[in-house]
Amino acid sequence: MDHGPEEQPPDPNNKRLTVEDLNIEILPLIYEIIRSIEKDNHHDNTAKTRDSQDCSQKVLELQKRLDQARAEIRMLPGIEYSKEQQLNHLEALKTQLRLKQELLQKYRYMYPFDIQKP
Amino acid sequence: MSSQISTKEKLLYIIDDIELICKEIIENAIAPKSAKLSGPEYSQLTDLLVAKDNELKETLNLASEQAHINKKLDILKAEVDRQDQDINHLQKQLKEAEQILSTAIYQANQKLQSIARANRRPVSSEELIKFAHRISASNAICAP
Repeated sequence: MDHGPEEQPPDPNNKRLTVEDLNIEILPLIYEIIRSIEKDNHHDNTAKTRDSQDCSQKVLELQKRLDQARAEIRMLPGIEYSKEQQLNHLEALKTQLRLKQELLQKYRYMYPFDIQKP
Repeated sequence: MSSQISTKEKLLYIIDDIELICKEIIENAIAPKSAKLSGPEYSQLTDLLVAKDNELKETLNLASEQAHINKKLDILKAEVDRQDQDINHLQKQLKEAEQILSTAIYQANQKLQSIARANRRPVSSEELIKFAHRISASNAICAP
């Protein structure tokens, strides 16, 4: 990979996302949810209600992050095909371009009207 | 080759899997002691979650590479479109040239035919000049 995650500049004119714009850190959230559920068991009632509210908030945030990730993945460019299909497409386009350039070369620079002197 | 799954679908499937695993883990955490998973099962579940997370990150790297390739594809497509335009332009010019040439050839052919006709019946220049004088003398426009 040539670019690190910090080096991609955001492009305001381009509606498409880059992979680096995605926020896909699920594991820390899960860890916090589990920790706060387990903390739940050791406190008195007032702290318990606060913790369970905290918990449900975190679960909602997890859900939101997953849904947002899905929506953002749909907007990523260039992933409609597998990598192999994409590379095949690239090769086919290159061949097409080469053939068309050769065709144009042939017709632009041939001299059909050179009259051979008898 | 056409049965290959697209990277987008792969990413969405992984997210679905992660969501399922998270739900199971959370349900297990809030379940009463009797319904909880055993130790090894629970650690299997968490290992699976970590594995899926890694798979997600790898697939995101792949997506980033594909985005890079996609940019090259866009440039190539623009080039191919330009060549297409040039080819269309050249085609129009060739058609025009063909038309002009065929008209020119037709007219040259006509001229050759009239030269051949003239050569079959030669007329001396003195006779032509005599006729010309007579026509202009009588202000006519053709021979009597």
